[in-house]
Amino acid sequence: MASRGLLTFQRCLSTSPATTSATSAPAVPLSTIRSTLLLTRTPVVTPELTPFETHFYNYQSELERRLMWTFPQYFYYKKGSLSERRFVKAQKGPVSKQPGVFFKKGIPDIVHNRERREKQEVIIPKSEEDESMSDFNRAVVPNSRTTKADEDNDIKSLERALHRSLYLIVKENGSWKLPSFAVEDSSNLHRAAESGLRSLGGEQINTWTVARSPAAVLKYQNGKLVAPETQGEGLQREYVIKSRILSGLFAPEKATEFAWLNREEIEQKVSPEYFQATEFLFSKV
Amino acid sequence: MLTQTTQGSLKQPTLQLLRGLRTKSKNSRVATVSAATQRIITGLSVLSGRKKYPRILKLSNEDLIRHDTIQAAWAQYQRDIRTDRQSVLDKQYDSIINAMEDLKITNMELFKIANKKEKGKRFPLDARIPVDFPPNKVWHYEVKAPAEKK
Amino acid sequence: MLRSNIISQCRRLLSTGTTKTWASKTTAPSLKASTHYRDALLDGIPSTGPPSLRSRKYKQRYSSPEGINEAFDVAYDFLKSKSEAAYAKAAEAKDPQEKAQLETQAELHNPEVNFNFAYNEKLENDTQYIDYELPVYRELKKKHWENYGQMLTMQRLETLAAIPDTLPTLEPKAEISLKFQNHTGVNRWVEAGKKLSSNATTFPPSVKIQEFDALDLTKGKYTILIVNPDVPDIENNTYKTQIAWGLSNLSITYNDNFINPAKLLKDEGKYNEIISYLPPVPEKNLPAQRFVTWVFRQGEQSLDIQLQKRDFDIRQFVEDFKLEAIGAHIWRSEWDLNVREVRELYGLPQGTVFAKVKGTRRLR
Repeated sequence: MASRGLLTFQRCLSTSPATTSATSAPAVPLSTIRSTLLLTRTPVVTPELTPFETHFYNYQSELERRLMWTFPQYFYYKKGSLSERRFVKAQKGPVSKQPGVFFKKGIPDIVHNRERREKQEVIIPKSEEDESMSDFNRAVVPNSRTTKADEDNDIKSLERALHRSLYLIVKENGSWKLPSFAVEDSSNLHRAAESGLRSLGGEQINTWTVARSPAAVLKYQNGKLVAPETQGEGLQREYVIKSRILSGLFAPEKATEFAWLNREEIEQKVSPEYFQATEFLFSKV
Repeated sequence: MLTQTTQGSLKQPTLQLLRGLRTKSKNSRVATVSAATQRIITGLSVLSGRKKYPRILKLSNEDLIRHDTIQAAWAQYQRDIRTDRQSVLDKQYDSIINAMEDLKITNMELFKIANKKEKGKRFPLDARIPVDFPPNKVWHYEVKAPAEKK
Repeated sequence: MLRSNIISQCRRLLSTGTTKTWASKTTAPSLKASTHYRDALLDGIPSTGPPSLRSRKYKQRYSSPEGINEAFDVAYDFLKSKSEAAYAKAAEAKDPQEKAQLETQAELHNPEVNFNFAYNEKLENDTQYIDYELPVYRELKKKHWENYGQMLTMQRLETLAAIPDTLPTLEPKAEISLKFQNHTGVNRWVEAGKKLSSNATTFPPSVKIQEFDALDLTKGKYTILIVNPDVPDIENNTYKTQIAWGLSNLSITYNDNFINPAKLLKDEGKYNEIISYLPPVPEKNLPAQRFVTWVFRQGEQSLDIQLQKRDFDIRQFVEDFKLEAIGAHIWRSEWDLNVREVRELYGLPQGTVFAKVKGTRRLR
């Protein structure tokens, strides 16, 4: 924690105008710098629940229902009205106390038509459905959380694995990696990445750059990944810019192989060294 | 109901049957109130728990320990999630710092642009948050405005 | 999921015993709940009702909250996996403190351990149910003690001014419980600060020293001093401190830590009696006298001193022998009709009758 505080402090110091104006000449040729795009399709639906979460939430909601106050039906339905009659008819009434009957679970304790030792199940009376019902009052049927792309396992589709974050990776020189672009013609990391993406995958894409500052740096020496702290001559640098796809699609004109994959699938595709260097960028959700 | 009526002053009063006439409750202890007052009473009784409390939940010794075990497991589960998330955030933060420090050495121009504050930056309006079930149209493929960024 | 639920339901109905076992590495009996409760605890309440309820009527009436069985099953598996990891770490740990801490962590959420601890007598040291040799039970007991017993004792010691009248302060590390096991038939643990009759205190008390820290108890020895700071000093018109009883070189274990006549007889010759027991014989019309029991770790040194005189400077004594106070207890005694008999029994002279002082001049 202390080292982090110190780093931030140093960073604040170094960005002050006094120090930034000191140097101007680039120390490294621009040709050795590339801008890499980490393009995310954020989850469309909420994450899948683990078995523990499912059972725990179920248990908690059962406890809550058991401890819930009795539903005050006389407040919502006027006495003697038709809607009240319909509501009462829909309820499964509790077993009431009868003289001369043995109740194994104890004599029923009923107040306001509710067995006080159990949860109350309030059933809303449903009107019968028919064809003529409008969009407004028809029953709500939720869409499936799995899509056709899931069934086909179409890794090029943006509609696959809706509950996960998907990342765009492309095949370059026979190996899968995040798309990276040269910054020679611009002096701007994030714009180089965005325009590079459009030149590769067409203009029909709407993205949002999370930040101008790079999220990570990947360094290569003689085509091999080295630790991000390495300094020295002959290094190729890739600065990772984070971005999100909002709409549109990535449709390369050239026969570029690409895929929208989640974290685990990326681990399968890319080389182990590459995944180790970038794994913290990929969300587990 | 029998009611006495007088049709003329000279005639004897006769008894006439009237149906549907509202009468006072025989039970004098039950106070009759106006409809407006009754509405207020009903409204207040909705807020009162006197007749709505369920019986107190009594757990046996075994179930109490079982309940505590579930709660302990859940607390541990949440703690694990929190520490995992925090460690990833730490890594990402360190990575940003490292990348920026490196960029400063490599190219001052790029560094200055990358380090510039983006004033007034907001999440885009067409960004969506995760929901329980997908919308009818899962993904919008057509991009209306050209992705022109300043 | 539905299928697994049905299977577990069937198992619940048909089984003659639970299939769940914790990741425990030792076979200490206290790590298992007794067979009477075990199945209900691990597999859910059977249709005959919870075994912990006595009456058949209430057994039949009982119903568990819905969803608890399924939630418990996954929670148990989750905690068990955590426990396995902790045990694997503990096997590699070198430092005994760290090892004890990891073993505590591994067993802390074991439902059987929690059940045993919650529903058994915590002061009787029955290793069948609660075994303080296991670090997890020491941790549970420590938490239990800190929640009530420790606070109560410290409050009594401070409000009755045993601190600082006897020793300047105390950082409690061990639980000290006290009991008079004697002819009076009253066989209860004494609550700190209670006024006891002279009849009950005729014979020496039995003291229980419950250590919680991971220590090498085979080497460390313990000292008990009972002092009375309220003995009237008529020459100087004040009060002085006398020692009522002193024992040293006591050795205890986590379970065998009750210093009672039986243990003293068994350890005859191993411990040292600093001074024999003098029962409380308070003077008439004086306020209640405090009897403060102090327990010290004396380390590996042997303390073979024997005192002849009752007059005692406890601060000097503690400093001289480098004793480390770990716990204390207090009771009070007032003059009653039985004091004369106690004096006769111990061959003590007649007491002094002081003038009666009414009002608030004497607070205690």
